[in-house]
Amino acid sequence: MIDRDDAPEPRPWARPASPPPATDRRRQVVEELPDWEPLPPGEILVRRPHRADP
Amino acid sequence: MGIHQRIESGGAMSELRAVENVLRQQRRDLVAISNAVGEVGLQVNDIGIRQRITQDQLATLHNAVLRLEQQAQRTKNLHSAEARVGQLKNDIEQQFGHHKVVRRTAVGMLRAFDQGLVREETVRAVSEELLVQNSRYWLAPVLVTLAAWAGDDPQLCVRAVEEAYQHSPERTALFMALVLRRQDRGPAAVRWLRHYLDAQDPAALGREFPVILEATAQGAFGPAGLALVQERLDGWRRLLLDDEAVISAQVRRWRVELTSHVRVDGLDEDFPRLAEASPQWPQLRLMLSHAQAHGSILDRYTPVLAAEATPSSRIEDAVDELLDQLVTEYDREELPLRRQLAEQEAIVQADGDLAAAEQVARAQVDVLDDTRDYLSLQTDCALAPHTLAVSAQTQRLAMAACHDWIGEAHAGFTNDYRIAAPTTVEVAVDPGALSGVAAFRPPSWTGSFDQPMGTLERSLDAHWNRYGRPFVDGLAFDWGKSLIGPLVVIFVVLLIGLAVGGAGIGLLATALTGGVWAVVLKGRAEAAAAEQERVRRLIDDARDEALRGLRAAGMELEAWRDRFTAADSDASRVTALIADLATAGGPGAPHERRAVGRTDKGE
Repeated sequence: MIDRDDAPEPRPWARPASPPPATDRRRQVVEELPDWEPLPPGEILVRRPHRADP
Repeated sequence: MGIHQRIESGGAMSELRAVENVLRQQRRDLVAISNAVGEVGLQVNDIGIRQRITQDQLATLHNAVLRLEQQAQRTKNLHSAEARVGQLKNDIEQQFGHHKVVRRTAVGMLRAFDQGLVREETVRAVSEELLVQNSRYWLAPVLVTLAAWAGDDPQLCVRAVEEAYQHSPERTALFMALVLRRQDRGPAAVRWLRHYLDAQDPAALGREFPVILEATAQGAFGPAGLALVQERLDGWRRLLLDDEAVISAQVRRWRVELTSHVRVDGLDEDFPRLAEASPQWPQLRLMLSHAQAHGSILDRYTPVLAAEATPSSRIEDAVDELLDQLVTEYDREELPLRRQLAEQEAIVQADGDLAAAEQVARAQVDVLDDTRDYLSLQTDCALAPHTLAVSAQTQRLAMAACHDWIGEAHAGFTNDYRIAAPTTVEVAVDPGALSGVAAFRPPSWTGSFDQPMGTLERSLDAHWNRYGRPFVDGLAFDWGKSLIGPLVVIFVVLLIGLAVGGAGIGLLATALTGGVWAVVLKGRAEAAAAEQERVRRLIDDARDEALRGLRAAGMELEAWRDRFTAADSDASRVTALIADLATAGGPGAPHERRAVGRTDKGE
């Protein structure tokens, strides 16, 4: 269920009531993010030493 | 006539008059009674009408009372529901009011990531305090995860991920996969996708799954994501297909789909003579209609195989909608109260009408727990992609997964109509029905198209003549039988004439009688000859028509064979199409060729 009052009837099945768009759909990439990414539990972040370019 | 007689006559007259008077009086009484009865009838009728009016008024009154009762009940329901809505909202606010803060923060965070600019204050807003306040809500630790990532704090990130995972591994993995994909971190997104798939129950997949399937099929997670999903789908299929009954059910669904392409309309009109004359026409029609279904099957599924993987902004929107949904939907803990609230709000919306409210509420509440098993979903994707809003690429992926069942269903479909082929095709002619002569009822003629047409024609002609000629000959006027009666009459007339009037009178009467009979018999003979000629013509025309029909049926059978051979040869094309579906695999990945919001990647 969506957090709003007037959720329309879901049709088709895989596309239930859509919430109002939360974003402007600009789909930009955040440049300032670090190189590593959050990993699922149990997966280890391995930081390999930076190889110098030949 | 004497005085006595006259006196008696006068007495009788007076008695008669008296009787007449009595009768007249009785008639008057009867009329009066009749009028009275009529009056009573009218009154009874009037009473009936009044009774009906009274009944109608009572029924109207009863309905009005019922309506009032219903209205009173609805008003009671409405007031009760309104009070309950207020109470439930309070309960929700008290127990889960802080979830709103999390959801608002999540929307803010998504916006920041979408704009490519995560400000420091955005990260600061998501502190560990949020985690403490909402320790049971999966979205809170996920937001801390994102903030820790943006703030380059791997240790906090790991802790937050573990916390989120304890509450909802499925939602956490999906959210992270989608966010990382949006940030162009493909390999990490696929890792999370793997965990999302791990958290799925193939017997109860949610509505978001077809969207993920669609996004993957369109290359949103790259070739690695596609391979991962395919591998997982294969595993699920193996898991679910241990049961023979499950396999049979899927094959049956495909068999029904293939059979839905069968069209018998118009075949009787295309082969009218064959349809009319051949006892094997039902089998021939079944064979041709089923064989022709292959063309329709090819028309429907060839485009699926040939579908180009076109980049679709629609799927980008769908994936974004999933993200929006994840950050705005209610948590599982909220669902019982939310479900009750939805039910009570539906009662308020329906002005206290419980039946109407139940329908509305069911549509809303079902959304919360509505799941489908993987096999049904897969077959739905392949058979009715529009019901899941998936593209031809996803349909192809689903068909590839279903190809064994399609192949089995198609083999059974083809085999069944082929073994329905009659050993011989016969033609039957009913001369009596064709001629339209009621009394002409010879046995039907049956021939087999295994024989040459010339032989069949001769056989039919001989059959016709064997029964037609004797019948027509039998209609000729029978002078022998017809003369017996007249001769007897003439002989009797002669005898009577001789006895009564002598020889002259006898001979004259005999001659007259004979003459009359001669005219009558001649007329009958001429009428019989005319009728015989008419019937002969009818039977001859019908024979000619039957021969023409036989030749036409023979030609139609040839045309049927040509059409059937051509249609049946499409079976191998369908088999090849199904084989191609199995090896079609996934399409190219259009998203790989698209930079998401960044153009400086040195493509």
